[in-house]
Amino acid sequence: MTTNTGYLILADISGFSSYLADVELTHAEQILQELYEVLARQLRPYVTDALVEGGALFGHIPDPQAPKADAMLDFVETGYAMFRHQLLTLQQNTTCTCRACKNIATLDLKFFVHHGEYLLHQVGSQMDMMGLDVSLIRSRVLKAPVVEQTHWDGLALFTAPALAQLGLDSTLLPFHTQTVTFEPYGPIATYSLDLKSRYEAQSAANPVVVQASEADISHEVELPVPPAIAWAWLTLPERRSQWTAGRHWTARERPKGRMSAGASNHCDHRSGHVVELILDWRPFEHVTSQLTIHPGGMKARNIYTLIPLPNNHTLVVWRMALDVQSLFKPILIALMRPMLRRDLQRLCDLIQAEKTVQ
Amino acid sequence: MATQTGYLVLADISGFTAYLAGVELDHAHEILGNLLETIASRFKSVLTISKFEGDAIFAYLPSSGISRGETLLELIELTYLAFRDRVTAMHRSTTCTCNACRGIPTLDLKFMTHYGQYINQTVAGSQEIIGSDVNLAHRLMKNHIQESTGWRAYALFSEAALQKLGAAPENYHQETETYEHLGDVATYSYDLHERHKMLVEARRVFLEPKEAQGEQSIEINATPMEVWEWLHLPERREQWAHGTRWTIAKQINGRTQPGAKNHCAHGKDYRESILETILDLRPFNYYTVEQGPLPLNQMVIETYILEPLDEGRRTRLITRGQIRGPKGPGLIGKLMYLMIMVNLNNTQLPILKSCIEQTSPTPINTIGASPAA
Repeated sequence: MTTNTGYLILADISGFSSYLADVELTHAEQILQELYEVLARQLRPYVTDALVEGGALFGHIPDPQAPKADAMLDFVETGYAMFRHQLLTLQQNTTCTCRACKNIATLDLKFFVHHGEYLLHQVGSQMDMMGLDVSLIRSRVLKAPVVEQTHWDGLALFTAPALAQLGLDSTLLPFHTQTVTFEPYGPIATYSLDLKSRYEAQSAANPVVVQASEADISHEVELPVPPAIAWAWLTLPERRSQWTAGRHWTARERPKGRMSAGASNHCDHRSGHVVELILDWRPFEHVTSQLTIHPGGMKARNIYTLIPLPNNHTLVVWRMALDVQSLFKPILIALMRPMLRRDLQRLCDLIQAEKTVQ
Repeated sequence: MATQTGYLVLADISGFTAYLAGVELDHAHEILGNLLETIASRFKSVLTISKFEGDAIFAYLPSSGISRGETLLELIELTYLAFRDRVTAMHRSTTCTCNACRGIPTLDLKFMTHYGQYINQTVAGSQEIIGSDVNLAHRLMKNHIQESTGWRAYALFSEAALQKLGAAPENYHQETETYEHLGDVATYSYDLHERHKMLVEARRVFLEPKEAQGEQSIEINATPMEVWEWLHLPERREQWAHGTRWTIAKQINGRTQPGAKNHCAHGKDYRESILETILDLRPFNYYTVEQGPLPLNQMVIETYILEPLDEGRRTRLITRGQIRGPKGPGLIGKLMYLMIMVNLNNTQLPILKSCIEQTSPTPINTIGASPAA
């Protein structure tokens, strides 16, 4: 039995106790079951075998499988967004007036992310985690202080060790910072993000997309991984460099320290370079960008849309619209189409190869 | 899925978080696993284990699962004894000087019991017990008992659980806890250290085969806990010991334990009577009683032994008896005991077996239960 290091993640349904205290159990059971299922599905790309613990899912991500900072933030934000979508769907789909159905809106979600040591061990037929770092998260001791100070219902809290491991600069993001003491662990700094506000702002913003009717080049490919993993391959510069032959991607602007609309990337290739400006960033759903291709400065709009498939694979729909009015446009399209399609096929082969190795 | 009602029980290892600070995880996990398995193996004889929760075990029991409230108290105490024995044995047998092994004696155990509603549902591939009462049972783990009493090992009951057990609150330490969304919750608890000391120091009274003047045995398709209930509940005893009327004559601090007495009326118009005194009692394992007086001031000593068979699904019940009198058993005493044995062997034990096997466990009047001081 070896000690692991990794992330310990608790996805805690806010308002769970007060909700159950005053509702019809038979209806609440169905509602909670659907919410748990959504949460488990969202955690699954990174967290396998999450444990259900009194209104929460608790799991771990060993370091070798851990996402990078951007992907981790996307992971919790998308998990939160999916949970909220499910709440909304449950509310819209019921005409029932029982308290369990009426009070769905009182539920929310909090993520607690810590990094530390733990040991996986079998107790009875159940796999469990053990260690002081596990107790820190499992005890929920971090919850009350942050709620008391911020009154946030939907949040993501990162402990100082988690933030350090992610390499996130605490001054760049709008973190609420405080220190909590947990005996015998001692004082621990926590950094929390208001997920609800961010979700509401994103929901209010109109999506920027490339419609099928305006696309000059389009292609679809089924990737043998869930959307969260496909997303990392499509958006992380170091990963993109692996499947876009002869091109090297690097990160440029990161507004407030992270990927979002307004961020930019740079791509070097043999005969020039491309500047990519993110127009719309909806993790695990779609990313729309504007490409400025040099030399010449030709502009194109690009979108990758990710559609989850029942087999836990992802259908990637790629569309590109060339914003040029030129007689050469058909020639450009004819030149770019096979190259970009080959890229996507290479991506598919790389993912498959990595899965085979694992 | 239907809503069910029953006991919700948590066993939580005290001091585990403090223990984890600065210990070697690979040794600590073996120790924790060992202790949790010890608790689980005892719990399983009566309760259904819902899940392991770190250093705690959550289990439940539908209200129809036991007929005698005291059975649950006995299970908790039996589990605590097994836990303490395991802690002592592990500490004694290790030669390892690591912090995890040295720290074993700092671990202790507490129990929280609530009675209420729950639903058993499948969530993300595993069976989960949910409900507001399940939340309350878990909240009870955060309480002020240690702060106000200094106890590290205790059994705590919510008011609902205590009422269902039929226990008298005056035998318990009372507190009121306040939990968000759940309000004020009255709790009743007792010190398991004290109880452990008493049980360990209790004199062992057990008839060995060579001391007994007679021995009978019968195999019954029921768990030792079910057989135990049939042997102890007065209403049930009357079903298999025809022509008797049993009543509880005396309890010690509201519990069936050494010194407690039962009264048996029998014979024509129930005019004859004997008094039964509990001499020794190890729940679900064995007990020894003294019954009498018989003619010539003679007394019968009987030990009832419950041996689990087929991993506890069946039970072998062994009874051993001995006549004692001021001048030894004598011929009359031996003849009397022969008659008792014939009755037990030919009538009472077969009826007992038939009663238990035909009756699914259904609750009858709950007998009061409280911790013994």
